[in-house]
Amino acid sequence: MPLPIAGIVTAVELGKRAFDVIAGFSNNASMVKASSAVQDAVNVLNAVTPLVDQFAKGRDITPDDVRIALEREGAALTEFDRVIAEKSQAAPGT
Amino acid sequence: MKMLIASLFAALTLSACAVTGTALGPTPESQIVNGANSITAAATLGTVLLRNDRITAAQAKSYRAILGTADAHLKDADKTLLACRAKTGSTAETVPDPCAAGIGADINLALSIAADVKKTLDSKGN
Repeated sequence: MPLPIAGIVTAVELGKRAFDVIAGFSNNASMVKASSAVQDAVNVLNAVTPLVDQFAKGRDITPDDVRIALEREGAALTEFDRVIAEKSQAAPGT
Repeated sequence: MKMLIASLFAALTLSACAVTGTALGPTPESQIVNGANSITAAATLGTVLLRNDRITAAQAKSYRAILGTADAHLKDADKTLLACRAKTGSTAETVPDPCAAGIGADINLALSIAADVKKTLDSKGN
């Protein structure tokens, strides 16, 4: 499911540019203020986007990724067991 | 006024995410991978410390037993998730995810236990 953030940021950026153009032509104080408000919104959205992307990455994990991670975990535990047995034999009672 | 409009845009964005059902959280699959990686890291560190005689075999056995508990919870979570995916036909991309809630307790336990063991082993390595 594509996240809407990128599209919303683009739309707001375009809106910002439109406000800038109109404010430039009209020299209207309220248009200048509105343009600044839209810039604030763009800044907020740009701050949010990396956080959302971070969560979105989790959606790329496949069942194969899970299987591989569990196999790697099993191998690590098995190796731990092996070294424990080795050390226990070398120094019984420790 | 500026902050009001900025806030409205931010609220609109978050509402859009809610409406589309995008959950702002990791998928069950990624949580299981995180759990597996945490246990792997703790077990690997224990192995290295034991090889270098920074911990005794008895201590290692104790940590290994605790990691076994974490592993059991992780395997339960994986089993529950696979059964849920088969039953619901959902995948990691399904939103809202019908399988997310069912594995939460087991995953949290696995992660918590692995983190505690890793933290303890980290202190042994210093």
